[in-house]
Amino acid sequence: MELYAQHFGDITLVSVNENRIDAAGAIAFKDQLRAVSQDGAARVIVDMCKVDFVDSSGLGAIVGAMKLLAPDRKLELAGLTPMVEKVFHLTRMDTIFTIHRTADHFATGHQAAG
Amino acid sequence: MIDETQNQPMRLTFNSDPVAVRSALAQVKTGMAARNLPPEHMVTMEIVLAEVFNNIVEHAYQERPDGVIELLLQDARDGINCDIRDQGLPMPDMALPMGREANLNCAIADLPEGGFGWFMIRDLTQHLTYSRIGDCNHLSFQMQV
Repeated sequence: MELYAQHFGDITLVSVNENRIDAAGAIAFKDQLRAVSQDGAARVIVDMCKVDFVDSSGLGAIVGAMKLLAPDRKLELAGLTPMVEKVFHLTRMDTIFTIHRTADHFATGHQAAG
Repeated sequence: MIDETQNQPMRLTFNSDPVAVRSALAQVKTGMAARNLPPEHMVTMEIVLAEVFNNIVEHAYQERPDGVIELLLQDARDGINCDIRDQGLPMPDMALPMGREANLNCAIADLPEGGFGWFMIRDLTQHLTYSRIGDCNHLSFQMQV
């Protein structure tokens, strides 16, 4: 489960370099997300633009990650693909998460730490 | 006279481990590609089958990777009929889980992290039935295409 984190001030932008967050990888996803967001940024934005499949295990891992960060820190999502959006909408989890259409604007204008 | 335009049923047999499940789902997508289903319906099919298979792996076979899962997909007049068999433990109370919609009207700390699967299966299928014959669990349903 490959996650890549970039830190910009009070935001940690986590890119998910996987196509699926499913039963085979849900636990690894939750563990990795916790590991890369240990810097303490108040907002953790997870860029899901490469993920085209999330099952109920994956959804549970994402909810679990949000719960781990709460109450002081917030997990937000970006770049949901249509299939993932469908799962979030069916389960009404799209009413629980802040969902950004894209993560592009979080990285724009920031320079990589030298 | 053989109707050459009728699609052949699709049968798959695979083991009860998450990697085999991923592979089976990919094979279903490849096999269904010839039917030119709308993408929306392929998405529905993958969601439902993933949840059913995951339930069999986790509950029927208790995470043992050496169980066998059999899938049969057949065209029906107004959809696709799915039959799934396994030889794992029976459903609790020999009945399908209710799969009620989760209550999300609570504090973040109390949000559910599971129980979404049966809700989605029920929401996306018709004629969902479960039976146990001998040592075999049989689950069948129809998906509209």
